[in-house]
Amino acid sequence: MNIPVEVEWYRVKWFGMIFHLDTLFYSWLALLVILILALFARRSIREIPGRLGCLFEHIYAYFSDLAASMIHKDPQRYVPFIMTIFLFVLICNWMGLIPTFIPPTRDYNTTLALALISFFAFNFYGIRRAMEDSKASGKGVWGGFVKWISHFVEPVPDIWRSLEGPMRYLLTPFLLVLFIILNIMEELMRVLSLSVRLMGNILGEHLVLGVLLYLALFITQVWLRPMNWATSTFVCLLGALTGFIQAFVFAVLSLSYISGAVEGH
Amino acid sequence: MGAAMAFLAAGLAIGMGALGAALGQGKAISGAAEAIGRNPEAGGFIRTTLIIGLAFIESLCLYAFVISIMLWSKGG
Repeated sequence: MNIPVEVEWYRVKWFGMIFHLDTLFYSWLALLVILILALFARRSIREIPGRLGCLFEHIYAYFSDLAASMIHKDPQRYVPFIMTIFLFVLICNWMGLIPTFIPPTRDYNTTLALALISFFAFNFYGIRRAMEDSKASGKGVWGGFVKWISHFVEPVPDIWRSLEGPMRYLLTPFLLVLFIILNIMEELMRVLSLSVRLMGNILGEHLVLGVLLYLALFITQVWLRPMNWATSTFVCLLGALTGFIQAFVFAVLSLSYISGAVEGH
Repeated sequence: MGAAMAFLAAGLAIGMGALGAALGQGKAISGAAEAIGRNPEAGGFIRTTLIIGLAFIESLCLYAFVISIMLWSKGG
């Protein structure tokens, strides 16, 4: 997507591909920040944890409780994945609050990659759960896979059972095709909505902040500058809240998609 | 002329999208506030549900935002 306010000179063309060097740099910086935080938090995990350890324990406990309330079977398995996504998105979002820094989640490529990771993760967890369940009930591994595949025709068996007479044979083939297409589209729309939501929020907030800061520094009516400073401070505070909420929403939606995939339909 | 129409369409797209999303979010928040007022013990669960619901409503506004940015880059 060609956005007019993008800084073009960070874009490098190598081997026929366009690399967004700013996004790459700041995502690696976010990873570095998380790594340092994690190392410090690891040091402070004791019987009575230190400040950072306490913070991480709180976040982990929150997501662990949330997973336990949404998934009945073995919820702790999915918590590390959710928390990884949450921490990465949170640090990336908050990077936009530092002047001259660029939040990597403002780029559609980052958010699309995150949404695709989430998409493959919940499909993988769903297949694995179905396979393990059918293996435990003695139907073999592939019975579970067939059961997982059959959720794409989901409401059709119920309709088949509720219909009588010739309408059953006339209507069902059309409904079958329609619902398979709808179910596949629903899965793809999840990727689209997850990625566009995060990108739109962070890009919009970053644009507003940039415009306000530009006005605060360079507007020709000098008496208007303090007002713009005040407004941009307010938008900055709002941005801290938005960044947190969007990271939380991304993680919770991934969790609810996982719960929908592993709980059966 | 085409560029001017693209800018106009970009403004209209985000404006009307934001209007609809604002009305929907206001309704959702008023319902959640009423529910928390009646049953404060369920506050945590209602708040989580509210935030997820708001995110779904907001994503519709953000589709409009993306469209308006595409139109903007076409005009400028």
